[in-house]
Amino acid sequence: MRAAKAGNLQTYEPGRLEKLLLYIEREDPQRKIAPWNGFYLDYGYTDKPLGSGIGFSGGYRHDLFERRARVVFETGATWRRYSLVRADFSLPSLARDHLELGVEATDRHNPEEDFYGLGSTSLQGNRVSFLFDRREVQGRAVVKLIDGLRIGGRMAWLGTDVGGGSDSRYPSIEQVFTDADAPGLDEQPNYSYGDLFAEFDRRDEPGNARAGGYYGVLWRRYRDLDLGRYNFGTIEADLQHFFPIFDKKRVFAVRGRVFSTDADDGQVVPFYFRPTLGGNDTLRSVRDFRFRDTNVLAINAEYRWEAFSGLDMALFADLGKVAPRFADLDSTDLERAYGIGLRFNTYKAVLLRLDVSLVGGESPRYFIKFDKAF
Amino acid sequence: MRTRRVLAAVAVTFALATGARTAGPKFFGDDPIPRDPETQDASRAQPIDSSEQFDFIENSFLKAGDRTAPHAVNVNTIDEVPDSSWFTNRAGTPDWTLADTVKGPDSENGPAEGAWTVVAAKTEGITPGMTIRDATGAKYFLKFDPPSNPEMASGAEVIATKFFHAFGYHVPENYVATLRRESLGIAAGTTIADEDRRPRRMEARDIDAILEKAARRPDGTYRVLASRELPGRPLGHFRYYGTRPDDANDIYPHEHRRELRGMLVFAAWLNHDDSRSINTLDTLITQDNRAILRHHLIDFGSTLGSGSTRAQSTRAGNEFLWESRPTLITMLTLGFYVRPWVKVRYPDYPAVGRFEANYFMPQSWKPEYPNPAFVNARPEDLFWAARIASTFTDDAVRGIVATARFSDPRAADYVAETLIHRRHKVLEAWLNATNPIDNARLDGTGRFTFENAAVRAGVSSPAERYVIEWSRFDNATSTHHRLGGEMTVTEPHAQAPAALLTDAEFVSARVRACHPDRPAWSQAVVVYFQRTGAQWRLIGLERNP
Repeated sequence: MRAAKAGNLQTYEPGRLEKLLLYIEREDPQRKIAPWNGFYLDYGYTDKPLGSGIGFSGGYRHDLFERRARVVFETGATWRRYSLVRADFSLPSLARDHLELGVEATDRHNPEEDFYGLGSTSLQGNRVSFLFDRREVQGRAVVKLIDGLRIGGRMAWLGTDVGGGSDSRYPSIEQVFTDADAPGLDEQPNYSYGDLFAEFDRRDEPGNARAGGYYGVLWRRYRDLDLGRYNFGTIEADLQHFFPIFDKKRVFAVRGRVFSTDADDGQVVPFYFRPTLGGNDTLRSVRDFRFRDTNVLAINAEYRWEAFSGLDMALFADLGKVAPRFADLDSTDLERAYGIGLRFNTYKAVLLRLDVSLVGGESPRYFIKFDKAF
Repeated sequence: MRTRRVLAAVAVTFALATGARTAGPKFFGDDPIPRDPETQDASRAQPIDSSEQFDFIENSFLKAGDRTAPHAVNVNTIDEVPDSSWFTNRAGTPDWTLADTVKGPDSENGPAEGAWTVVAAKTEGITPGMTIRDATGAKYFLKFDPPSNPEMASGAEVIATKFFHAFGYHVPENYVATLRRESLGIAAGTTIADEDRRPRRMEARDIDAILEKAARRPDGTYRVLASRELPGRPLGHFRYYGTRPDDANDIYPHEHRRELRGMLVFAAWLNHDDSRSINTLDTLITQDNRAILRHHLIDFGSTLGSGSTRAQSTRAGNEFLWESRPTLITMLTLGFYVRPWVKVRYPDYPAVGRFEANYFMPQSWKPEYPNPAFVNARPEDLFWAARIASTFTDDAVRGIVATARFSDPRAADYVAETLIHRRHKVLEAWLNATNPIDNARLDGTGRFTFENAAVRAGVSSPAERYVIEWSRFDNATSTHHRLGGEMTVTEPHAQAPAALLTDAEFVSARVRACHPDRPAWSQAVVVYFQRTGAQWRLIGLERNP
C-alpha cells in the first residue's frame, strides 16, 4: 500500500473555501487596503456623525522619525454628502510613552443635521435639517499617568457655519425655526476653546467590556471671537461600570451621562452646541438627536448574556431627559426605552449590533450598528 | 503481514464500516509487529499551509473525515499501537522508569546561561514571543506568561509536554527558563514584522514592547517557556482526518489511528482543549538513511488551567465553541438558563488558572471544536489510552508537576492533586467502558491467567465471574473450532482444557466478564496464543471484535 501510494504522490490542493480563508489569513487584505503606514481606504471616517449614512475615507498616514511621530491626512465622505478633511501630526510616545503632543486641523461638512426644536416638548413633526460646517485647528497634550489614567487638555480655534439643510425629506431649518427658537441660527462666530479632561479606564476589554469601568469627565470653555454673544462652558461626565457574574457570561452594564452647558451672564449657548438625547447609544426609543437642550441626562442599563462565544444578547433600559436648567435633571418625566439586542462579537470587540426598542417613545425602533452600545 | 496491511488500507479507503472479513491467515510470522514499517522515502513532501478558520469551520459544520468509526486501523494483532513516526510506546513498557517520565523529552537543561541572541520575534498576535539562539547556538522559541497569571502558561506547557511525551507522542523539548533583559542581544539583520506585516529592522524597544506584555518577576527577570527547535524541516500541521497526499508512509486515515483517537483520554485528563490541527507539526527528518515525516504535538499552553494569555475559559472542556442547543436555550430563556459549568468555582491560584476535578466529567469532555479522531474513538481506543494513563503513579504525577517549578507550593500541590483526582475519573470512565481484561498469558501447563485493568487501577470492584470459551484456531483459514462449553471462573485464571492444547498451533479464548454494575464488561475479548516450543505466546487480542 505504501509502495502503491509512493507511485501516486500528490501535492495537497486546498478547496475553494480553504483557499479563500488561507488568502485572508496570509495576506490580510483589509490590512492591505487600510495599512498602518501608507495610502489607505477605510470604512467610515474619524468621528463620522450619527445618521450621516454609509461613508468611506482614504488618505495617507505614516510613522515618522523611527516611529516617534506620526502624520495622518484623511478625507472622508458619506452617501448623504457629509465630508471630512483632516490632518494630524502627533508625537505619541514622549517621556517614555507617558506624554502625547499633537496638532490637528479638520474641516467638516455636515449638510443634513437633524433638529426638532429645543426642549423635551419638541415635536417629532417639526423635524428639520440644517447644515453645520466646522473648521478647527487644535493642539493637544495628553499625559498617561498610570495604567488606565489619562489627563489632558486641548486648545483650539473653531470656525462654524450653519445654514439650510439639504435633506429633501424634511424642511430646511429656516423654514420652521427662527433664531429665537434656535439661538445661533442667523449668525455664527468663530470660537476658541480650551478644555481639560481626565479619564480612568479600567475596563477589561474596552471594545467589549464585561468587567471594570470607565469614568471620564471633560470641562470645556468656548469663547466667541466675533459676536460677543456665545461665550459658554460645558461639562460632560461619562460613567460606565460593568458587573460580571458567572465568569462574565452575564454582565450588568450601567452607564450614566450628564452633559451640561452654562452660558456666561447675558450670553447664550448656540443650539448647534447643545447636547442631544436620542438614538442608538442614549435613548433607543427615538431617533438620533431627537431631543436637544442645554442639559442632558442619559442613563442606560443593560443585562447582557452570552448565548455562545460569538454572540451576546441584551435586555436594555434607557432613561433620559433634556432640561433648560441643570437642576431640572431629576427623575421626573424621564423618557424611556426598553428593548432587546443582539451583539455579534469577539472577546475584544462588538462587530455587529442589532438593537430593537420595543417600549417607550417612538418604539419600535431598530438600530444596526457596527460598534458597541457602551 | 504485507497482504493484511494492504487489505486494511484498501478497506479503509472504501469505508471499513462494511465489516467484511477476509479469508486467509490471520497471523504472520512477524506478528505482533512492534514497529510500523514506514519504508517509503518522504523527501518529496512539501509544506502545507493550514487555515485556522477553515479548520474550525470544517470540523464544526462540515463534519470532516470519515465518521463511521470502524475499528482503529493501525493497531497490531494484540491491539496495541506499534511504534511509528506518530507514536512511541513509553509509559507502561517494561524499561520505562519514573525518572524517564519526569525527564520527558529533555536532552539538556534548557537554554544555556549567558548571552541570548534574538533572531526573530513577533509583537502581535495572541501570544507575543521571540526566537533566540543561546550561547551554544541552540535555537529556542520563547513564550511568556501573562502578567495576570505568572507561571501559569509556562507551567502548564512544561507539565503537559512531559505527560504527552510519556504517553508516547512526539513533542518538543520545553523548559522553564529565566530571561534577563540585559542578556538579550539582537542578531545583525534581524527583522520584525511592522503593523503592516512588512519586515523592518528589529530594535531594542521591540523587545521591550514584547516584555511589557509579559509577567515580570520582582527581581526584574522573566520566567519564560523555552521550546527547543524541533529537528528537521517543518512541513505544516497534520489534520485529525485523512492522510497527507505527499507522504507515502501516511496510509492510515488519521481519524482511524488509535493513538489519535485515544488522545481524547489524555486531552480530557489534562484539559487540553486546544487539541486541534493548528497545534501539531510535521517535520521532515532523516531516520535510517531515509527521509520520513515525524508528526508532533506542539503548543500545550492551553492545558490544565491555562488559556495561554489568561486563565482558561470555564467553557474549555465543557462545550464546543459552537453548539446550537445550549445556544438556543440560552437565547430563548433570556439568559436565565445558565450552563452548569459556568457556575463551577475555581481556587484562586494565579499560577494555576482554572483547573478542577470535582465537576470534571470525562465522558462529556470536549475540545474547542469536534476533532474527527476523537469523534471516532471507540471504547477499545479509549481503554487503550486509559491503560497508559493508569501507569502514572501519584509519584509520577507529582514528579512531573515539580518540573514546572511553581514558586507557590500550594499551587503545585493543587495541580498535582487535581491531576490525580482527574486521573481517577478518567480511569473509572474508560477502563470500565469495555471489558477490561488484559495481560493475558497461557503457560506451558495450560494455566491461563489474565488481569483486570479496572480492578488493578482501583476504579472497580472485581468481576463476579468470567466466562471463557475455548477454541482451536486455524490460522490458515482464520476459523475457530470451539472446544467444549463455556467455562465460568470467579478469579482471573483458569485451566485450559488439555484436549485443546494437544497438537494445536493456535488456540483462542473468548472471555467475558460479569459485573452487576458494569454492563460493558460483558463485551468479549478474544485472545490468541501461538505455540512456541513448550510455551505459548500471546499473538492476538481483539477487544469488542
